[in-house]
Amino acid sequence: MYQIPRNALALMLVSIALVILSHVMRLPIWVTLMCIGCCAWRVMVFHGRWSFPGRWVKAFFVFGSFLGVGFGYGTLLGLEPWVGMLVIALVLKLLEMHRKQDAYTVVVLAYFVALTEFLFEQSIPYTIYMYVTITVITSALIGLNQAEVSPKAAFIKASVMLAQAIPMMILLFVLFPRIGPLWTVPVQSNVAKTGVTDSMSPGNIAELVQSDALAFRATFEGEVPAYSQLYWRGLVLSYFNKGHQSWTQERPGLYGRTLQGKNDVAAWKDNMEYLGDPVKYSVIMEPTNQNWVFSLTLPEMTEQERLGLVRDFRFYSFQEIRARFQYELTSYLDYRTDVELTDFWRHRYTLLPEDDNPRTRALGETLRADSISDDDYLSQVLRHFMAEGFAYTLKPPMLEGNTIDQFLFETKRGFCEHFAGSFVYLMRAGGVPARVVVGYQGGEFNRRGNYVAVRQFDAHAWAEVWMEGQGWIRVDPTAVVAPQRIQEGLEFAVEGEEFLADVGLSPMKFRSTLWITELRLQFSALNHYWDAWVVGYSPTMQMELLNRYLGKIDRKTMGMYLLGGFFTIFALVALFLLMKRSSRKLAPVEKEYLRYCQYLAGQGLARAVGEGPIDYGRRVASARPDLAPGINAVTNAYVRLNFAEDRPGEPELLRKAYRNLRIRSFA
Amino acid sequence: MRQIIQRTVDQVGSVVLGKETQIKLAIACLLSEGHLLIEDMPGMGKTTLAHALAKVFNLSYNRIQFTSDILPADIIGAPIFDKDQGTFVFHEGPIFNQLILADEINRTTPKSQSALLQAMEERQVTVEGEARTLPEPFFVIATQNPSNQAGTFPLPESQLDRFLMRIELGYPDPIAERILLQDQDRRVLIGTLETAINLLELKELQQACKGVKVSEALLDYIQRIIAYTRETAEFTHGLSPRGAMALLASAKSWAFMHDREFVVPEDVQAVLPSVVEHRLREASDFWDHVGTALAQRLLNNVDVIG
Repeated sequence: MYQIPRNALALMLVSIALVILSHVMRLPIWVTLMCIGCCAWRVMVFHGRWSFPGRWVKAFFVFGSFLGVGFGYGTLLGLEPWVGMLVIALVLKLLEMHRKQDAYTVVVLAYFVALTEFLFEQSIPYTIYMYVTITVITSALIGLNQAEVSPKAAFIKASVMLAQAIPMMILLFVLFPRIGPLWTVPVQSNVAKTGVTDSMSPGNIAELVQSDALAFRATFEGEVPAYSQLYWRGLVLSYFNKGHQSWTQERPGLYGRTLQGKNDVAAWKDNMEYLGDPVKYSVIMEPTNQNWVFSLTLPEMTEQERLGLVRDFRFYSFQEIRARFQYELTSYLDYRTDVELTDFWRHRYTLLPEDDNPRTRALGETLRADSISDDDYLSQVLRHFMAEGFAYTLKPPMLEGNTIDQFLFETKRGFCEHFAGSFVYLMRAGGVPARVVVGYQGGEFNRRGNYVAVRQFDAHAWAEVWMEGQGWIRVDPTAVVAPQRIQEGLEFAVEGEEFLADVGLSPMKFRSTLWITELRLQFSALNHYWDAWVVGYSPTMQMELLNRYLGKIDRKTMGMYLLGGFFTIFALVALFLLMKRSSRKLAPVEKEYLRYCQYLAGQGLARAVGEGPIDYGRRVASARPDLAPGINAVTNAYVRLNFAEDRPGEPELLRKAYRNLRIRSFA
Repeated sequence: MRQIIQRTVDQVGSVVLGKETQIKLAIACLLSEGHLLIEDMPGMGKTTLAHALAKVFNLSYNRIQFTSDILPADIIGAPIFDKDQGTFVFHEGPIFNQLILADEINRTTPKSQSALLQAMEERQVTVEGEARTLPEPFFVIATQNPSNQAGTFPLPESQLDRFLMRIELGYPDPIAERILLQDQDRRVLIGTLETAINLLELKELQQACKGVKVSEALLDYIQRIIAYTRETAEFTHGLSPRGAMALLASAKSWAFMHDREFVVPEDVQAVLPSVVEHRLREASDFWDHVGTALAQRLLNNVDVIG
């Protein structure tokens, strides 16, 4: 009966705990309890108090947990249930560790489960955590093979081994050809992600801004535009749903073709006029499980995969963004769009439901009658927002029924969606084409990384109004009520109210404390580089990078470089070992003798490491009878000089014998 | 001197056929004043070798057959009441001889084993508070069956360390075996052996062996071997200083037997397996004391030249 070494078992249990800890938030609670139970059981088995489970008990555990996972997750397909199964398999194998091979299986499984963590998380802290975990698993493996090594010594040994593997790891990471996945596993999407949604009713965004989660980071080439220019367009909402009192997207069928690639053609492509200087930027977006992406107006068409340009001049991803997604765009902050608007679109953009929000409609009609033009009407409406005592607040009162009427005439306290929604409604009531735009506004500029980090609390809604001869222009009613929101950011606009009230301890709350901000910005910049260069190291990026530094490169040369790198590392290790070896001080006699050995090695008669001089001399002499006398002379001289006296003698005799040998071999 | 040694080797070799290396090692052991452990199956000629050595070296000889019920008093002797004198008189046990063959030492209990082993180390026994010196020279040849055979009490490492060398005889080669089958009984042949050496000469030889020269370079080599056993993970423990001294003493005798006034690495290598195998154990091996592979590793991996 195999008894696993005590230290190995302890290390194994620690590594299993570490592996499972990283998954614990995704596992049903009963799986975690089962893990603890199995580990405890194994400890009791080790102490000889309990016995291993019987066959039927094991069968019950296996099928029971199989069903449990199926019911717990509602499905057996998908990454989370599979990882759950794997975790269960790992801990059950603990209870089946009868032989040494089983212990190895547990260790290999632990490595594998540790690996699966990267399917969910790739951030720096997790990577460091995983590195530690892998070290502990490796020390368990060492403990398994060397029973008498203490856990601490095993851990140190494992750390050294892993540290030695780092150059190889970097080499493989950079140079090993990256291939797209052969198959993909659906990551369960019922985990809610925060972000803007495709319908806006009062209260939506105010809820969203309670989160400090990162939405995306944008790195600019050159100067970053002014804060008030950073309107990240995500969605255009142009249909008012009477039942829900919410703004939603236009029916996609009406828009016609979505442009894909620079050479794609559509009738509306000419409706975009780019003016002024281009702004180039690259965005790394956090996963949203949605299709929309964010861009500054007016974006230029791009060759980026997955992205298409929609009729309302924003980009759309053909696949839902389930993993961090990077894209590059060029935008022109000065532009003209849709200078001509067809009657159909004029109708759609002024459409309002019948018998709805009568007071707002009446107000619109009155103001329209008082104004001389669309332009004038716009200013009158904005003046109305300014003059009638509207307030910008994070905690707007609940609205019911005709929400727009209620907001405009009763509560008058609202967040950006209240202002944008009611403003567009009012413009349409006056017959002016208008629509709501949802996205983010602003973002925190990080000087170290030259990027702007946009968080959920930067979520914003504003309006676009169509003017004769000017096309669509951006109007932000929030800017009229709370100008700080647009120029400096949310927390300056809501002074007096608690910013991020529902979030626990967040470094974002301490934006006014200098050193915390400094630290946060540093870490954030580090994260940015990590995401951009390590997590985002894609096949295309690999090719670009290698092309830049190694010249034109294909798969074959890549393989050559890889092999070259391997051999360089091996050569360095070998050199190090050699240096270590020859660091011993040799007596002149020994040096001379080694020279002779080297000479004979050149003749194909190398001395084995453990071969004594007499044995060697005998072997060589029988292999080369022609040199036998010379070899015997050298051997005798060496043995006499090196071993006959306490201290090695002068090498003259040996030198002479060696010289004679050389001369003879020439003859 | 060399002729004397050659004569002893030849004499013993005429009885124990085809085992010249083992005979030489046994003699080297005797010259180094160490004890010898022979491990092999029954019937391989262990007793014959011991008996022949005693005869050739002209030593008083006795054999102790170890069984599971033998007691220390059976080995050392015991005071017995003498009716005529009215006192206890000490009756010397079989251990009071110059050459002892301790047969199947691992069949007896640790208690009796340690009685013998203590005598081997101290070269005296203490009975009733009185120390009694053992004869000079005192040479023990112990035999043991392979330790995995039934009914054995394996010797612990601490006691194995007391033996200078451990050798195996092994099967004879076919020619030797043919002669063995054709020839007379070995016991008869031992009776015909001539004494090749007297006590005085043996003493001189032992002194001469101690005087063999050892150079710095050779000591370096021995220390490299010792260090290798201590630093490499495949050994459970390294060689003890006693092991190192045993290696040097055996190598000196070996060099002397081969007519050299100084030790060369080949001498160390010749005695190395016999000297270290029973002192080493592989790290992954909990049961067997066989370090054959380990000794081979020492020979192959430790460089002879600095």
